[in-house]
Amino acid sequence: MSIHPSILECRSVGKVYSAQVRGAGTLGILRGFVRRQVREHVALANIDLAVAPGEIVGLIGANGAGKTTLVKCLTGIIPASSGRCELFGHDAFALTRADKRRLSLVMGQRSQLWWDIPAIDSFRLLREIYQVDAARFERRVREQAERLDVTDRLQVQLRQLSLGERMKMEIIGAFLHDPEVVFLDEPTIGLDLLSQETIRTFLREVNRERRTTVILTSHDMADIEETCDRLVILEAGRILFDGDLVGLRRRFVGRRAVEVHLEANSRPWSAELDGELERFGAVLVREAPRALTFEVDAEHCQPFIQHLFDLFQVRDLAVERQPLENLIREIFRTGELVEAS
Amino acid sequence: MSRARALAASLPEELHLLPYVAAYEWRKATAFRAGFVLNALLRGVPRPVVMTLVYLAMFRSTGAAEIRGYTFVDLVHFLVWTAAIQKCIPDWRSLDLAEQIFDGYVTKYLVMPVSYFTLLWGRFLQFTAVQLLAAAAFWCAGALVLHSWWPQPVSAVALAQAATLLALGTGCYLLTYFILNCLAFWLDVVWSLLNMFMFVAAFMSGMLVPVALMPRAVRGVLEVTFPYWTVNAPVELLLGRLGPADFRFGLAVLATSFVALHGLAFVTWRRGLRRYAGVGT
Ligand SMILES: Nc1ncnc2c1ncn2[C@@H]1O[C@H](COP(=O)(O)OP(=O)(O)O)[C@@H](O)[C@H]1O
Ligand SMILES: [Mg+2]
Repeated sequence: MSIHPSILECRSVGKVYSAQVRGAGTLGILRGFVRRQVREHVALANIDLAVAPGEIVGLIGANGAGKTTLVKCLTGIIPASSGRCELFGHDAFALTRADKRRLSLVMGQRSQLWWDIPAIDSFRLLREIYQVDAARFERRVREQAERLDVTDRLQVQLRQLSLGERMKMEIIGAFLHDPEVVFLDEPTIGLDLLSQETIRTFLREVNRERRTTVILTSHDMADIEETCDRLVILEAGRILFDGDLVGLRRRFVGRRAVEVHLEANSRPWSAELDGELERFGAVLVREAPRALTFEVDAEHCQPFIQHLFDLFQVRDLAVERQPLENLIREIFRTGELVEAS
Repeated sequence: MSRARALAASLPEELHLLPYVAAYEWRKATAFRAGFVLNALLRGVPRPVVMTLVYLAMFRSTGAAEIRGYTFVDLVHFLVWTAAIQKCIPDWRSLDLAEQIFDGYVTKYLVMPVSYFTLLWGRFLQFTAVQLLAAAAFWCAGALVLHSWWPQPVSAVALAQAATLLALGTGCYLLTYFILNCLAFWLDVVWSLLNMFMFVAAFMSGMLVPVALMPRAVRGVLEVTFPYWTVNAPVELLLGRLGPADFRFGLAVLATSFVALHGLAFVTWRRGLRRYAGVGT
């Protein structure tokens, strides 16, 4: 272990946005001319976070929780209002050119590539900006495009690509210069399941092969669950939980909600079936006439479902992950808040 | 001091990037081919056509042979040269920085190891190269059709002097647009400011009326500003109405303006970034 084990660090970081408040309607606008009303909004409060090289951290939180704000503070796009954000041991808002070569940022809702030209042309400009060796550049583009399955789309103008293809191009661009830290802000937002899966696999592989530190934000638990080792939950600008995903996964994250709808001629639920549940560690959480919801560990999910077909005449069946709200409620309930740990 | 040293250290790198940025801008500009050609051809042409008709009406109605030493033909020649020069001057649409600030698109450049000014000058290089060609094509086309009636530069030296002033002056225009665009960090009325500047600059540069026709006091003021030395003065050099001493004075005015504007642009950009929130991301 070196003396500076963290590649990035936040100490009591806060961010306050001030926005002008405008009243509704013409009168409100006129009033705003006379007396400007500014409302302060606390987007981040007292954030403490340290990430070691090679970690793959999931930053999760509902919309407006402050994920993007934290990423912006950490990448030096905006200054923190209080506290200190450090990247590579330097103030994040005063990164040197050498520091900037070591990081990358992908924003799900904002293209980092240039809109009007094919992705490959953007990559060439990035190659010059980041001074990537030509042979390495060619190899990396080819390799990464193959992995992400977009080789035949490299020559197409970016604006003509589908959302999923565009995001894959963004990711290729972000990894071209072999950055030490990559920030991805909601990279899978709005993508189809297959693209999401491809991107997650890619991130895991790059993290494993090159020890790239990855900070991934999402409001979708599936992203984090399948990609990250460590989970940070943001709620209203505060860190609610920061810890190992493996332990958490067993207790909360790895649970599935199974909802079955029964045919009219199916046997109904009855108390004597409780024993059938115990074998799989499942619990009945909701019972309605001809619709039952169970919770079960992910690893027992498949045999449990098969058994359900033996027990009932199943008309329809849905399996869902625990939504983020359940997880947060569960963490509150069990008192595993970060302050407590 | 250390910031200045860091800037100096990064200069070779930024210079190395310039042609690549210009090439990218070229690809971007030509992505819509028809619009690109039309824009390059038409830029600066409608105004002189209208002004020619205005002058024609003025000379007809007053019956005068000349106004302050300018005959009708002199004025048309003046307009032809301003048209060629206007092709080379960036206008408010040459930069979409204010839009990028409003929409949060500036964000991506902030994490890259490149100065935004390199992107700015790369775009300038591309624009200037293309528009110089368009201006040359415009002049050649006129000379082919109208032969000796079309205005010729009085000498090669005058042409070189005019080109030098134009190069520095267009840089001043670009920096001014950059600074006005940067105000988008604070204000949401940048479009109206840009439009106002366009209009005032058109007046100051002699694009609307030759500065020589204006009252003495106005002339005195305009002759120490960069728009005058970017358009009106080069035209008069080409027409043989100004000489080497004027050129040297103009060069000093433009060089001073350029340095001052660059400093101001730098400060505005740095201050603005402290306020930037990257909305919508
Ligand atoms: N530029 C801004 N001005 C004012 N408030 C902002 C600005 N950007 C974000 N906010 C507010 O800060 C909070 C956190 O925003 P954000 O970091 O974008 O959340 P997330 O990415 O988790 O959805 C939100 O309530 C949002 O409305
Ligand atoms: Mg966000």
